[in-house]
Amino acid sequence: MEEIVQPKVYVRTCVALLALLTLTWGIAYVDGTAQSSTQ
Amino acid sequence: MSTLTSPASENAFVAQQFDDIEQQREAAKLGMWIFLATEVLFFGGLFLGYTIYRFTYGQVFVETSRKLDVLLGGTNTAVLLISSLLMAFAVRAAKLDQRRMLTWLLIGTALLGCVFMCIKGVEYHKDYVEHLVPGRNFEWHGADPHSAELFFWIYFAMTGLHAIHVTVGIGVMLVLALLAWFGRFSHGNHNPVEIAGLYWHFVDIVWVFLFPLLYLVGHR
Repeated sequence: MEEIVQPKVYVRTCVALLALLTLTWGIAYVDGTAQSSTQ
Repeated sequence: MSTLTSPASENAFVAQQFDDIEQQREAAKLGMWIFLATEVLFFGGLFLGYTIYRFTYGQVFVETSRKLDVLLGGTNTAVLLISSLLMAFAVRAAKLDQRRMLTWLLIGTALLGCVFMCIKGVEYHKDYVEHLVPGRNFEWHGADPHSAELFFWIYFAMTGLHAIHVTVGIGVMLVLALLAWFGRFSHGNHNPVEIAGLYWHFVDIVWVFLFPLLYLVGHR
């Protein structure tokens, strides 16, 4: 008996990870902009 | 979640040392997990080395990390995450005997792997032009150039070894896509796709650790 996962589970996981990445990248971008403006 | 019953014709794919395809599947998965455990040890050593130097040369590592392109690194992370999504769908398609869909999903995964490698190539070229490749050509105008060079040694070693793993993964995906096209993964014989999926997800996870450690360490 093989377990088949619904596609939406994969899609939701991927979207959540991409959202986290966007947040992380956004923080790094804002930080980089702030640092370059102070130099 | 739903379940799928294996058809009787799957026995044609069972090697003689196994009782049934389920036992064969479990053995293959165990083998892959053991291999991945050795990979964890391999990359773990590199991560440990990085951590020690990060604490020893903290400020220099922060300065050097800012030389890396967060946009390209972030894009590569997104590319690998989406490739993992396609891989998960590919394993699902293999379980559901969707031959055509499986082939295209494997090709899509391989193509995204190629996109990752192209972006990495652009990054490496940028580093080369900016004299950030360790060796004779290395130039660093900030404080402590030796420690800065050490960061780039670690950066190229870790991302280079990861890139080798991605390249191997692309090759595996293309071979599997070819075999899938000829119907080799039908009737419950989706073992190879499943264990290749484990490998691809592992490669993805390694990058998910590399990205913040190398690219974001210079940001607070």
